[in-house]
Amino acid sequence: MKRMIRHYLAAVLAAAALLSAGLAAGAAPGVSECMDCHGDKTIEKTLPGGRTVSLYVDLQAYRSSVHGKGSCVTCHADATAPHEKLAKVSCGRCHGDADKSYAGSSHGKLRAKGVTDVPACYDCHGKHDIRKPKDPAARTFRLNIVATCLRCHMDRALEQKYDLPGQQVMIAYQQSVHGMASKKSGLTGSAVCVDCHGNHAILPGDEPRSATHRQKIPTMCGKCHPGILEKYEMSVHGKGMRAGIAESPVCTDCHGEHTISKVSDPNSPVFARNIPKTCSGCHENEAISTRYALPKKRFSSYMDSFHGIAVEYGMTKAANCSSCHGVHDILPSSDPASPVNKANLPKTCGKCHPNAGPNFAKGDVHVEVSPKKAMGVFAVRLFYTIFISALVVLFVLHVGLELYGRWNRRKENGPDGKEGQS
Amino acid sequence: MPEDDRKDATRDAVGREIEAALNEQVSGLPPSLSEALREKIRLRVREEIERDLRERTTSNRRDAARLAKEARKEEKHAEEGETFLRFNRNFRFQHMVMFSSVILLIITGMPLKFPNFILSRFVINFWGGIQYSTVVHRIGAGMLIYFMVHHFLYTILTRDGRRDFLLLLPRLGDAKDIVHNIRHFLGKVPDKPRFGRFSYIEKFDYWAVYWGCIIMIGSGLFLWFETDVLRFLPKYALDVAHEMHSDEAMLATLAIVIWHFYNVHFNPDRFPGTLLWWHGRMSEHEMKEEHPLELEEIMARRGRESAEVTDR
Repeated sequence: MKRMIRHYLAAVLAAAALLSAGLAAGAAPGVSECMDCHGDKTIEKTLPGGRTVSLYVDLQAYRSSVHGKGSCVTCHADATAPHEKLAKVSCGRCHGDADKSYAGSSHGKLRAKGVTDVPACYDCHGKHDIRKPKDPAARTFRLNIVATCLRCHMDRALEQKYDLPGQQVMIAYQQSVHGMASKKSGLTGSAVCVDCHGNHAILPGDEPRSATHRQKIPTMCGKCHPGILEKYEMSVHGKGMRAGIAESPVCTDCHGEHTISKVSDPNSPVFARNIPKTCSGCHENEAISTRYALPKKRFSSYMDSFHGIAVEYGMTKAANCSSCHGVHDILPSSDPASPVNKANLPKTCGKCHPNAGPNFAKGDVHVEVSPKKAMGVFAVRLFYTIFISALVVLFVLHVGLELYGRWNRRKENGPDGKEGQS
Repeated sequence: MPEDDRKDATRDAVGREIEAALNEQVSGLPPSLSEALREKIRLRVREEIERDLRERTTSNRRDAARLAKEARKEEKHAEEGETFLRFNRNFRFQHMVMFSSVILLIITGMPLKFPNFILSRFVINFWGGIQYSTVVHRIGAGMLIYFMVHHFLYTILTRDGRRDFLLLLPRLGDAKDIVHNIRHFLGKVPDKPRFGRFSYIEKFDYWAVYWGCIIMIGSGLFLWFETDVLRFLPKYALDVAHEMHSDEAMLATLAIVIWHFYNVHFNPDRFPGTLLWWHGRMSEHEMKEEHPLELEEIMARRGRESAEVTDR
């Protein structure tokens, strides 16, 4: 696809050059004059390689485009009738802002170096048939954007050449809640490529100026999810992120990026059953726990509890991390507003255990079996460990001795001896 | 009782028929011979009538059938000698309730202790997921509680129960038996200890169940009714109960699998197990091997009884 466009472009330019060389420059032609030649469907030029490219311009498409009321020479300023190869069209003459931000993008930078298989303006917007992004027929209309971007981003050759994210990422987006909402349900409110990555100023996420840089992600998602953003900003994670702590989770750390799916989707990292694993990605991380003085063994102690086991076996109504700690509004337990603050525990437990009283707060929820944290449990476990070990040793000893005795006597008496019959 | 009336009528008719047929047959014989024959037949008929009277009620008939069946069986296995009723029907029923409940409890409980074990997920899914396996666990718990209550009442209210309970109490002789048995295993003494009705092995089994039931039912009820328990006790008490339930389950399972299974299933004398739990009977040979003192006692008691009343 891309390659064709490239040839096409080269052909147009070559034809224009030939024409302008053969014909003297005259007065600026009107649209109808241009159409005298370019309205002919058979007009074409031959490339040096022998391929032919059509020079036909669909007048109707041009007239219904956003520039349709203007004239050819607005863009092709050097055009005369007839003409040789024309100069490159510069959109930036009118669209200065867009041109500037495009120049700073990954696409623009490569283009400036002369790489021709990265998109220029017309690759996304079209040429003579440019339409407003609000126009459902536009390539840049919200529901068409994905197809426009994927023209290149599903191309394996380009993917390998520029080390782009693989096809599976694009497919994941198309199957994500956002992709399905726009593709299947036809909702224009759903996020498409440009909503997160920006349009003209697309940059890789690791560049600080990129729209998808970590620090900008909450704000970016908050454009469409402002209520969630508000809660997140109040949370310990949001505050940490604003304080510049890069390890503090942003939206995508829990929800995923292109793969974002509904909470009710069993494959979602925020599906009830997957939440413990998602949270433990950081909270079971020794380095992170130590660096921010977080309580340790949160995941293992949870997985030892009935809640953890029940969730592991697929009982989604059993409590997971967020059932008690909250979701976007997670606060440290020391905060009086936190649902896991000792004072709020009865109420929090009461969500599932009706009539939960103050006794629910007397003892740890994440039971860490150590003499300091849970003496009773520790003592019971110690007692049983010793008791079970001792008994098993005695059992095995008794059974073993008995078998030894039988074997011995069998050897003495022979298989038909007293012990041989039973 | 119309049935009995009908029977009486039938019997009278049969009696008359026999009488008539007899008269016809003996008419040509000498009077002394005919009288002897008549007497013989009369005796046989009376015997038959008496037997019928004994079996008049349904339950009598059922008992008679059972006795007859057992008699036949004993005749068939004459070489095995007499069999002795070791566990009565009530006791066997208790044991069946207990082992069914314990099997249910172990297979629905252990996956919760070992969620990463490869079979755990399979077992839980077998019941249709954890929301159902926990219900099955509670059914098992209900059965075990029933068993505990049943056994408690059995121990108090029945003669066999009281006798067995007293015989199950540990005594000094058990320690001596243990030492003796170990010496026997090592080949120091030729004969094994002579056990009474319950050996120390069985006593251990019994008291392990007692202890296990108390801990498991107690802590299990805590976990079952956690919200109610937490009205009176702090959460760490529940944590302790949880730990006890989990650890005691492990202990009980190991005790069953190693100790009980070896002694009743994998022991070469018994492999792969006997039907004692089903019919409750033990052969004379087994009694001599495993409970010689009890056998002696039974024989001594029989001797005393037969001295008092004449044998049937």
